[in-house]
Amino acid sequence: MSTTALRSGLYVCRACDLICRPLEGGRDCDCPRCGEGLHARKPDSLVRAWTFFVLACILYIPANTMPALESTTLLSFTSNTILGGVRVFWEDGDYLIAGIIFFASIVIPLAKLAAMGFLLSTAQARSKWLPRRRAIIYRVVHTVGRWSMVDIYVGGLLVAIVQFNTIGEVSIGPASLPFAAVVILTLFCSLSFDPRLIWDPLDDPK
Amino acid sequence: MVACPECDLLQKEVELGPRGVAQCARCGAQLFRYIPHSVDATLAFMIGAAVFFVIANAFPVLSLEAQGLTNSTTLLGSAQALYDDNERLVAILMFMTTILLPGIEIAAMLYLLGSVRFGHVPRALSFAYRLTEAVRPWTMMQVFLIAVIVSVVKLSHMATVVLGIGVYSLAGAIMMVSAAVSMYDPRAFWACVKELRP
Repeated sequence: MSTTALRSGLYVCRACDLICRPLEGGRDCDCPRCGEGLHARKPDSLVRAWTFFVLACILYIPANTMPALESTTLLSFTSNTILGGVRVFWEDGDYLIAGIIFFASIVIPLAKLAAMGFLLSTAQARSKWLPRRRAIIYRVVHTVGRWSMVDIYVGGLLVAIVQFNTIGEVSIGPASLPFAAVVILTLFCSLSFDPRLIWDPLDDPK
Repeated sequence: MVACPECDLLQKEVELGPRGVAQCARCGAQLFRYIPHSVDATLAFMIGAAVFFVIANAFPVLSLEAQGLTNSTTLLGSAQALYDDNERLVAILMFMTTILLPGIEIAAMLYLLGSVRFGHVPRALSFAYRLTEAVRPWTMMQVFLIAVIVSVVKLSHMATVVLGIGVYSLAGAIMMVSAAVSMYDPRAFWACVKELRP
């Protein structure tokens, strides 16, 4: 008969994975090996993750509707949203780059929000449905999220390097702050979510 | 006994051969690995990473030539440009994820593994260890490298773009850090610490 650490009255340190016996009466204590605070599950995991999730969803709208990059040349002023930037790459024939940006800036944030919404609601409902599948989704979401930062860095590089007064100047638009915030908030969201909540309903004695 | 960090299942520890990986029986998460000479190998790659990292920050990543003018930027320079462009928060975020936090990760790993390798328990052991764990999800040097490639393509239509020493060193640093992380076995590290403690 298999059992979990929690049901055996043991806590696992989330920093160094040491199995610890908590203090009597559930008082707060730290991992004896690395000093990380010990908890059975990440504290307020669902509440925190939901908060980051909702904030990210709200900021996702300005991130995609406001201009992300504004370039000024002697003859013209252009400003593009993130999707507009992808279109420019595509029309220039840079299909690979268009694909990378489309994937990193549009597909990953959307997929990440959808996946976290799904994981959070099933965990909230204490669903027992396909736990292994959901564990894999969580793992993928958590590793892939950081790649959305590509667009922000491209903005930084272009602003730094295209500063020829005669030829043109580039500056980043108002979308970059909400966009960066979406990336950071979704990372905080997946960090606050405790994947063990996927499995806890299965361990209930009922 | 080990507990799965992702699903909390308690299971018996198994003996692993070299390069073996133990997976959780229930959720498939990686429980631990056995890497021979993990501490030595991780330390060696981290030293390499530190060298590349310093060079990557000291030299320009990109130069642009147009109509006789040249403009180049370093890693810090691009964050600085955003800061001057009044995108302070985005600039700080960029500085932290590409320079500060990767630097902290490399430094803390060198400190931890170096101390243990040369026979003493680091004084700030628990703090430095928790720091490496906390910082790791936020290091994004690899992402920055892709951004450099995208920028090169974007700019190549309007001017001559030259890749700087910084980019090659950055690629080196990324490879070294990935190699170090793939050789890193926290269990081996803690076993060394345990041996050193009286």
